[in-house]
Amino acid sequence: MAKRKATGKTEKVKQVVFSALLEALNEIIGQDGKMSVIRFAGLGTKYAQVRPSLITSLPKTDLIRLTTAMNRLLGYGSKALLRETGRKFAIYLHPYGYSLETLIEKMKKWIDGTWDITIKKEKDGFKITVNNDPLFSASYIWAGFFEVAAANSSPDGAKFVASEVVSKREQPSTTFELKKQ
Amino acid sequence: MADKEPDFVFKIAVIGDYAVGKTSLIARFIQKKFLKEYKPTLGVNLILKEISFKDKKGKELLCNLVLWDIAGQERFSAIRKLYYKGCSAALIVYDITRVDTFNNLRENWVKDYTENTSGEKIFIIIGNKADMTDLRKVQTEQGEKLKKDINAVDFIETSAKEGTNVEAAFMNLIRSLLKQAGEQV
Repeated sequence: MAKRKATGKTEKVKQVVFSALLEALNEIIGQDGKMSVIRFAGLGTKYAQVRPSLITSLPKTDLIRLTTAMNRLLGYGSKALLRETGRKFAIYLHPYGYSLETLIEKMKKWIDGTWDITIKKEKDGFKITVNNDPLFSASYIWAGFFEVAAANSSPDGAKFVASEVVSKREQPSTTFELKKQ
Repeated sequence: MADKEPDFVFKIAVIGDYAVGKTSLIARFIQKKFLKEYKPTLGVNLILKEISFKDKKGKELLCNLVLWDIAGQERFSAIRKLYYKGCSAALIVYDITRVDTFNNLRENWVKDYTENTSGEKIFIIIGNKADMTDLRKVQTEQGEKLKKDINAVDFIETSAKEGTNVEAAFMNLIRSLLKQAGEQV
């Protein structure tokens, strides 16, 4: 179950986040692959076609179920596909390319909860920490996501490669390093 | 879903030309039913199946099979290579009533799979639709010969429609994988 706020409301996620993630899945593993993940997550057929709405919200628990299913089905031996899905996820969230900082700010607004992302600029890139991961420690999805978002921030169009450097499952938090290629 | 952590996780590709019966074989194995209508796979169907296997000493081994039922159509050939990564084994399927599906197995599918996976290649050749004896175009001996030629661990003719040998095909593959992992099965 999603954590409840003091107001007693169930935590929600803007529908645009679901539509971007599902569209990314559709592009990487096809319509049947996307439906396999939805079925495995135990989510209904309403998730077969989700419009990219910023008005409508869906339960955060469903996002957790979706990313957990992705990790279970794609995580073994298919991490490159998860990373590619993360890259497409960032693109579908904003096809014209938000900067890393803007995209993260928007993600914080679109996904309820006490989660947080901190960005530290470094000489050749960034160090990014995700606390209370709303994507349920889906680190390969994040890695691809950050790579695209960081490239959008780069004035010289440089490409970045993300690697997971610290992962604390008990908290949970994950730190990534993004280095210029 | 079992609470126990699996002893083994195997990613298994199920490949072959379109309409040879890949999805039907999996449906027969997992759901014990036959899919009457043909619906082409778009991309990949993903199925996770937990299987418990007893070794020679009676120890129970829990295996998670992640089955990748990969679209056979030509238009998916580019992305297909990414799907093979991390595969432990493959079931390579042809249709005994269509010679082209048998020829493509040797010329395309085995090559495609071996070129895009690392480590020891474990695969089983399946001649499906064995119930359609009147329409048979590929003889059993041809399948046997191909098994030797390409060093497959097994060759078996199946009928997803009647359920013949389907369970055996999957279990033989798992047994081979467990043997490769050093288990006495």
